[in-house]
Amino acid sequence: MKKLIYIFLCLSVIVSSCRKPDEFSDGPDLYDVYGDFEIYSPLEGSQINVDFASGETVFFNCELSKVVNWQLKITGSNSGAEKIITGTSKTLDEEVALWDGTTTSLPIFRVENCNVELSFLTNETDTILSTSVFVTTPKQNDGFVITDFEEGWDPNWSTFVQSGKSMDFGIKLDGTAPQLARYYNMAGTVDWDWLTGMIDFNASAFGESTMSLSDNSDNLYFNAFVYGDPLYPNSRILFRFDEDENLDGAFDITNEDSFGYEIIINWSGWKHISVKYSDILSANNSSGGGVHNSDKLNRVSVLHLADPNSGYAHSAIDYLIFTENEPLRP
Amino acid sequence: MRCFLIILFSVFSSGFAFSQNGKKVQFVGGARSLNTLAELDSASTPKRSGGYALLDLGIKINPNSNTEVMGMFRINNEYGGFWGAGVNIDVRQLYVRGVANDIFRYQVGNIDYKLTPYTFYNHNQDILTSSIGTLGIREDVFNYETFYSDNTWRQQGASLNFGLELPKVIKDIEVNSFISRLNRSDFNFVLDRFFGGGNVVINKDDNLEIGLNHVSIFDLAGTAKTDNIYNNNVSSITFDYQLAKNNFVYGIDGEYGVSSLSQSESPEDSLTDYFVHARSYINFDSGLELSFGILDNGADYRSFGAQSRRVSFNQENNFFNRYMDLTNSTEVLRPISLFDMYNDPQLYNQGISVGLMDHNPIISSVLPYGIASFNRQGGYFGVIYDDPKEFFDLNGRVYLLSESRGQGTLALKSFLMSELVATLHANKLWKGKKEFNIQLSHNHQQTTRNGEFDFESVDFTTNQLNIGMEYEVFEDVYLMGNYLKLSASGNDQMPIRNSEDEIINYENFLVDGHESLISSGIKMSFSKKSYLAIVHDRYQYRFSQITHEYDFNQSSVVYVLKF
Repeated sequence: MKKLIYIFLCLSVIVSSCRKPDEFSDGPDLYDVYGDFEIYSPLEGSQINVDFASGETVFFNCELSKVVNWQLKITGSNSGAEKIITGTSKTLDEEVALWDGTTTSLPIFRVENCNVELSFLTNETDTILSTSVFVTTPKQNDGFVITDFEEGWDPNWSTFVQSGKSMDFGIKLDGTAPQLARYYNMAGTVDWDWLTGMIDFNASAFGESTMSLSDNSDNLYFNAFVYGDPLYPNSRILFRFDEDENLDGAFDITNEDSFGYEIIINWSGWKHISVKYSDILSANNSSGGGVHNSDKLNRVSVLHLADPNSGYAHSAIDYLIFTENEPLRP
Repeated sequence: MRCFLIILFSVFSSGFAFSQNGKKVQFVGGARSLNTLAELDSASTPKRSGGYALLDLGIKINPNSNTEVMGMFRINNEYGGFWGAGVNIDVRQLYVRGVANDIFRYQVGNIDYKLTPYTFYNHNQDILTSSIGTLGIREDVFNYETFYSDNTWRQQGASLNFGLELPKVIKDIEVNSFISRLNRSDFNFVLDRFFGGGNVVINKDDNLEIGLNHVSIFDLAGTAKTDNIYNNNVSSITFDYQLAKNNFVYGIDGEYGVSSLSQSESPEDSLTDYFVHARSYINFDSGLELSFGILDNGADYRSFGAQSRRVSFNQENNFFNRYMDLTNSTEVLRPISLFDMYNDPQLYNQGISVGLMDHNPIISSVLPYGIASFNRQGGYFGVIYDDPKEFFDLNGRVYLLSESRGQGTLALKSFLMSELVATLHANKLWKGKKEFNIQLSHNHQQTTRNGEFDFESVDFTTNQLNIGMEYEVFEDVYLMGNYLKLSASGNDQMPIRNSEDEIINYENFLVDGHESLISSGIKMSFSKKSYLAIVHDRYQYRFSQITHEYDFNQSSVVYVLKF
């Protein structure tokens, strides 16, 4: 009998601990999801002018009657740069519709007026709300810029271009650069060799024998903007990184490390590529031991390659920059 | 008071014996060959053939009587591979285990571990019916591949177990602990993440057992350049109190505890809740066992050691992953079906997953995370009958549950789930020597919700039926057959969650269809550990609201050897 009382007491405690239903619910109200769609307040930016370089951001406000999938598209009126922000909510605010000056597809934004369009991914409306914001200063990126070609040719750089047909290697200023105004074009036909041309960016351009980079190769990212020509999808680019490990002012291929990162350009237009420095593979059988010493980088070379049987090849590069902690967010 | 330590080979991890046959080195492992010809009627290339032969070769070394070192290598050769092409060599298992100072039992490397159903447990949420026959062969394969045994999860880490005996106070105390690493740092934004815990199980006497359990998933500060430390802690008390009478045993058992989930940089998003689960039972000597249980799992109860799912539905199929949408001649992704879950071990999760994994309401909607599902309260009734004459076995359970917190509305969903497995050993009827086993397994799930508005209404029903048969026509030669059918109809408002597992929207999930499999085969057993089977499957997918219908036929030759 005593044991039965124990069991009864235990069950009573357990039953009494079962809760009453909560008087609130999880997630958005179903009425906000399945009710009628209405726009309660127009699309507005938090400010008319924005100075991204000084750390400012801009966010957009809009009140809706229900939760919908929406897309905010910001387009640079001069550059054509695009930033796409998507979300699912009934309110656009600082939490879900914040723009920090970054771009979704190259080019990057300039000093320009930007058109902002809000569209809704629902069958209930085809309304597009719009506003505008003026970028007084574009976003500045932290990092070590090897070059963005805006200062023209540096005499400390060196170059080699094959004597093929229609060779066109050089800095261009034609309004199509993904960052500011200038980029480096690489094009031509070489029917005897994969290499069509190359350019060396030497540390001497900075007045040093090595580039001023972090020694943590696991934390360092190499970034570049690379152009793919839809008419000539046969280009490859090899980025080569030569280290001066004994700090004698020069790279020695026989006992110092060279690392190579080759990309096959199978896209159209400008694309941001990024790679962690420690992930780049050896290009000379680890002659220097195979350890990535990013703080001893003596030279970055860009080699434009194409199958000699494939005819004319065309690509371009811009904005070569090392960033720490994360890939560049252009 | 005398107190001394004993070694307890507890049930919390797999048992083993050290070199009992005196051999210093033993070879263990298995081999398997699978060759398949499959045809999917609307794929761009409808027929595919393939297969593999693999060998798992394990070497157990006993350098002394208290230590065992085990390394198992897998050599996998795809059919058609030649001179090394298509051949993979992997390390499948690696561990060291033993007994230190004749007191502490340890294991380092691969450990298969579990604690309690609410703290650390590998629930089976998706294969809800039991299988003999051809599907039993497939279950054997994916259980072997995924290391799912006895509801343990395979971890890479270390475990330590020992026992205390206090004869004048209590019967004994078992202490079990483990630690494993879930992911490693990237030195920037991802910290080293560990999963550790343990329990103390006190056996007061033969009648009362009390356990104190704690597990924690935690980030190790300083292993990356972020201070955003993640923590998921679960603590619980388990109990089992039973009494024996002349011809039956009765008692109560259960688990009660609390969980918390937090990230240091967003304390406002922390979740804390409790859970309680208690069951009373009575077991008769006649083989009949009855039980009645209640549970209340809070809406914010999070325990990823127990809520990690075996199958994530946020992935693509590996076999015929795309097929043609005949309405517009475009290729579409083929969703993971119940048949795929029997066919492809690669769909299964191999470890603890932090965060709520996607589930498929067609397959599991009432308890998508097993008994550790959050936001469930109610009761259940269970019956088990194990015929002493081994003619008939039955295992059934009925759950009546509801939400404790609504999703998007204060109206609560109600759940009904019944599960039944009945096995008939028909040859016992006529005392035949050749086996003839028939198994019926059924799972019914129903979700309903009434509300003020039409869009609140939910009425969703699923049924899984699995009939299996094995008949020994000649000695060690079996004819096998299975009929598997999964049907679902109705609508449910499925929550869509963001990366923080917060509900941000709902999907009006609406289906009315089924998938079915008729499978037949023959199995020749060469010994208890080896057999050859030839299996033919005819499968139909008829959930036209999800994606277009297709038929799938498959013939397989399977050879399994264990040593």
